[in-house]
Amino acid sequence: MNASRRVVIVSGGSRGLGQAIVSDLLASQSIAATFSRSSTPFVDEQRAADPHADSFFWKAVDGSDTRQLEDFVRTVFQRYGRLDALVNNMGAVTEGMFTLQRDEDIRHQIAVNLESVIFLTRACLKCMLTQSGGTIVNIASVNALRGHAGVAVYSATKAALVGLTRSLAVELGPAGIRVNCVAPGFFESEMTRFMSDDIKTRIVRRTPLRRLGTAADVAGAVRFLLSPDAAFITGQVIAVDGGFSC
Amino acid sequence: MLTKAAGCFFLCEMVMNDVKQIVLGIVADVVKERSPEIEAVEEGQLLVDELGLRSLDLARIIAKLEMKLGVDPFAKLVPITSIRTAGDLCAAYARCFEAIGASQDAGEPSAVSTATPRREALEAQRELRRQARGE
Repeated sequence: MNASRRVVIVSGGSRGLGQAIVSDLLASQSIAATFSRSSTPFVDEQRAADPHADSFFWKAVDGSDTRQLEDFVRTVFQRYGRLDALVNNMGAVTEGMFTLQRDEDIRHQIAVNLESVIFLTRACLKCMLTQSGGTIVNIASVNALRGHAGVAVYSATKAALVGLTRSLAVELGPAGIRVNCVAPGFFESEMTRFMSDDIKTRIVRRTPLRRLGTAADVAGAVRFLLSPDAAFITGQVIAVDGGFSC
Repeated sequence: MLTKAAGCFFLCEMVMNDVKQIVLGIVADVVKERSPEIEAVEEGQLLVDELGLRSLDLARIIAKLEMKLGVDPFAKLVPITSIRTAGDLCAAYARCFEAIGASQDAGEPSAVSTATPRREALEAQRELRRQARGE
């Protein structure tokens, strides 16, 4: 099959920000392919509505397993005959003072936020290199741009994505592949759900636009970077943080 | 016809020629994008100095070959830095298929990291084996 519509892989698209990005893609008539270790209510709903995976494709995949990631990409490429974009959204954070972070939590964040992104990106780029181009959007974080206590390892992995973005943009630009980064600020999500109201109030006070973000705010930036309107944009980091980092 | 020697299957010369033609064909396709005046590629030609290919071109060639043949010799078996000529590239893929054949013959997991082949790549491999058996 050679799909006539744009095909986009979104990592971590089963919930939260990834779910918002996938929903946005589906609303724009793109084909969205995502994976997670296990199904979620969102995934179940989409699969029930689209049992033949004409627009939504999901597979149970352990994101820390390189071979499973590569097989997933090949499955999507075989099924739809094309791969237009990748959104590296999958992420994990363990908050706490750096010296008190456990080894396994450090390694888990590096594995999910950086290693998996690298191997998934490599697999997708092999497909894109056989086509006339493609687009990648890496979801970093405002923590990659400014330092905050309690998220050192997470910040390191997200800052690494910025470096990866810029290097790949230079390396792959001649092949017609654009690579950009979105750095979300603090927005209502599972990651911020446990923040105290006091902390949220302080964040809002430091944000020029005087509110927390939403997943839709971030999904909108992703939509723009994937679109033809961003055809001359590559290697850039767009902070979607209400001005928090400026 | 497949021959067995030293516990390994060796693809016959005819089959290896098919692999060579596929490799040279894809190299030629990419070369022509940059240099339309070059009509064919020969094994002895230097990829960079004579054919004008750059690193990204080589990455594209290897990606296309992985899609076509279902294997990536550079994942573990052959260092990419050893590739200088079109013939080196052909030899890398030949070595990859030999290694896969040897593993299959020994009933062991392949030491070579192989891509999960696309349907077309699987068919290409089956066709190569059929030709090797003289079918």
